[in-house]
Amino acid sequence: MGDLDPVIHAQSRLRIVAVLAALDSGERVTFPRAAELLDMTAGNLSTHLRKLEDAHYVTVTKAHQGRMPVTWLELSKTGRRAFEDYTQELRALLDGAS
Amino acid sequence: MNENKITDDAPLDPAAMLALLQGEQSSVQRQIARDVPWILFSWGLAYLLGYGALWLIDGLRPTFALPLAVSVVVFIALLVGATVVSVILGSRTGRGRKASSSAAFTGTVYGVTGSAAFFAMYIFAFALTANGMSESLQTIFFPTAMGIVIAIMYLIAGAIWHAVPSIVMGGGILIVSLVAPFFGYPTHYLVFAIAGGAVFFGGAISTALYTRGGGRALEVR
Repeated sequence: MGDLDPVIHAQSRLRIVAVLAALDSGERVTFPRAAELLDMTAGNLSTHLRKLEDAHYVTVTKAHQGRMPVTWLELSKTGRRAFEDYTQELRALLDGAS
Repeated sequence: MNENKITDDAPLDPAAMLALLQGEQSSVQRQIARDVPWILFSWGLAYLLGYGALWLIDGLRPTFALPLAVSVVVFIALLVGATVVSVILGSRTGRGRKASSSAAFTGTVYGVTGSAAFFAMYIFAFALTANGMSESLQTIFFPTAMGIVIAIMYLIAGAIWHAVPSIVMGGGILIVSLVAPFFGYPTHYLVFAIAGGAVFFGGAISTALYTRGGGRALEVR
């Protein structure tokens, strides 16, 4: 399991990336909606998002809707590719094990 | 929601991690589709009771006859109600999400196409009426044309968003819309009510089973 992407190979970050990857390519989701979809606390989501953002897997954009600040999350192309590679590697490991 | 709440961020074994990501993706798709059964249920109700009311104008004579004005009001109220339910729940489904510009373009064109198709159908009906289409033929034309437009929109939606149930429902509505006219007035209204309603209720039940975790994936990737 040494070759698996350490950024994604953690349960909470895998969940975040999996949810963002389930949306259409280029689709964005607000921070509260992501927390709701993931059933994750804001604090926990923030912590893991920072690591995903540092790896350029997730793009975080702050904007305004009217007067309300909105934080948009989007899986970057790098992140989507990393998730696909990770999934493929998991399957290869499992195929090799069987 | 994922039923296995995560408390430990240590990686699991490959099989468990694969199950985790698959479960999470399935969970988010089910959450997004959560209101779809209610939208389909409202349309099933509109078909069953709306066309049922139109059938009752003459369908049970001489035993019973629902006044024309009452039937039309019930029919229109149910259509408006189903539209309102669709708009409210549809916007709730999309809350907190923003499509990419290409997906937004597709959605806008799809929405405008639906409205344009209904508008075109009404213009065509007016043109046919101006050329002598009788009132009795109008009772055949409108539900059939409306059903065909709805069916085509479901089929297109299925093709765009890879949604198999949408294709199945579109096919079902198309068959009902093409078969019902052969029963003639007023029985064709009963066919629309029962068979058309059944298509929507069937869709509502299958999507409800899916969103509760009992069905297969709705989408083909």
